Amino acid sequence: MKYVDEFRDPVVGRRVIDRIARTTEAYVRRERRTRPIKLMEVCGGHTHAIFKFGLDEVLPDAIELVHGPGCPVCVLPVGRVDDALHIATQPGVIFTTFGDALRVPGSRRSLLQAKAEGADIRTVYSPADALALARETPDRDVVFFGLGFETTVPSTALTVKQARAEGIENFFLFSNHITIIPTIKAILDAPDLDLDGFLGPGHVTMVIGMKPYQFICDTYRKPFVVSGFEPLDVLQSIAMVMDQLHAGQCAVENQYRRLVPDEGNAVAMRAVADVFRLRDHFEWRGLGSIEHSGLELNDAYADFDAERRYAVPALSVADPKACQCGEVLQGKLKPWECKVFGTGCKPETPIGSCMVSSEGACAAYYTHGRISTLRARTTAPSPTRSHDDLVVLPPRRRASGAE
Amino acid sequence: MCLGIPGQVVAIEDAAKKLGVVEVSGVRRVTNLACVVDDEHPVEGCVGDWVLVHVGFAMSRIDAEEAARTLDLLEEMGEVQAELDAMRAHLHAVRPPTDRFPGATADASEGGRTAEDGRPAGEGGGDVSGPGVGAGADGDGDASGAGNERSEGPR
Repeated sequence: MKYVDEFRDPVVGRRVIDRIARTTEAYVRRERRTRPIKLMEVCGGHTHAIFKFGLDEVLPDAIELVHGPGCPVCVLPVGRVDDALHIATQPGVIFTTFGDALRVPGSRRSLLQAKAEGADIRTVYSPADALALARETPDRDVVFFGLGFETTVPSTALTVKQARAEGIENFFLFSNHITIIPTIKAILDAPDLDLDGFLGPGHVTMVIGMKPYQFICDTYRKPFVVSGFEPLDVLQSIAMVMDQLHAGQCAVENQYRRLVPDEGNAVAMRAVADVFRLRDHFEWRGLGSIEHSGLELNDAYADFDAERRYAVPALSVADPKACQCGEVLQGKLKPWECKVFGTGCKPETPIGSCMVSSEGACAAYYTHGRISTLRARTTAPSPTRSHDDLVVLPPRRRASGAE
Repeated sequence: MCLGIPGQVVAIEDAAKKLGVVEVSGVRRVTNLACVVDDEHPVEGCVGDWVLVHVGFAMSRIDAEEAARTLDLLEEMGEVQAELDAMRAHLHAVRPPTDRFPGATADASEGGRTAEDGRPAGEGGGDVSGPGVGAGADGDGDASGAGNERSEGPR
């Protein structure tokens, strides 16, 4: 496939890996560094690519990749799933959602279970499909479960605007859209996470542009490289972060120039500004409540707001006790260190949200997990890992024949 | 949901609604082009464009020149590497045969020379590996110089 295959060339990849190794070696030696160099990939798409292509295994041991919270399904708290179920089970409602969200557990059940029990819940590929459904079934309320960071916010915004333009009155949005900058700031302000640099989210940046990240350099002095999602993109970005560290610099750099204009996408941002406003607070799984991190429809578009129409309970519900998604999302715990990983919690029967979406760190480990790596880590835990008391369970991959 | 796919605009469906048909690996679908058009690049001019599609919306046009430049940079990283390897071979410098390096915690015993803090390797091959490492640093400098040029905008 064009623009995909050429960014997967293993020969070039090997050389970039060699180069990363050399820069890292020089840096580690000069700094006499003993603790790992921690780089966070903010976006779940990167987590997915890293495990799919085994990039974690070919990098120098001194580099530790920390998986960030950039997976919208993973950070959806239990309470919001319950709210979605509240809406989906109202009489006359057709509830539409991306497939990723179907299995996220609420406090009692998931959307998929509710669907099995009779709720009219349908998977759509695009918000435009949900709008088309509303057009075709004027006697029913069609609610779209809006999920995602700035990458998907413009598509929802444009769809709501389209509904207004066509005068469609039975289309509603349950917005769980979130924004990246407050999230990164919350991570940087977390006391015990000692990150050295970031791989920035390529597709979010394609919308918001490079400028909003400048504070990460100015205030926190961390290298930040906006990265594409093919293996060579990720490797080149890691090389760029290591170059910065080695040179003692810190800058916001753009590795993904073929898709990310420095200024972002003005049309998309305008559509978002027309339709949405920032919530004072929004609750995240694992990260708690983060100020100004969520988006809701503004007053001009209040008619389309499913939350106002159906008076959702909006309760804050704690995660199940066994679930350690919170620590995984904060990068404090590796997925395989979780007590229920691969045993109680699997992609088919998830306990926590990180096992649900293909972009979730746990699902990526489970699907593309390599027993050798896990075993090596079991016998030789990294010096920085403070969970020595945890029993590490061997992954039971595809025991049930599921992919 | 967040993973975008590159596709090519093959037809315009409805210019007023800014809808086009995008083909991804042989699959065609009506796609909203609103985010990739403006006065300078109207809907009618989109046929043939490569775009990144997210949930039925084209979110960015793929810049072929920048794609080529990124690939060149990647090649360049490789070329610098090849040059260094040649230089090292010429100097008969021996390096540890693996990617493991000083400071690594696990599996540091692979290969003949290892590495607690690079001392055995450093002393044993100090003279030969010295220039190698130096050249490595220079090489890195060149390549990251190119990187810097490329990314002056965002700084």
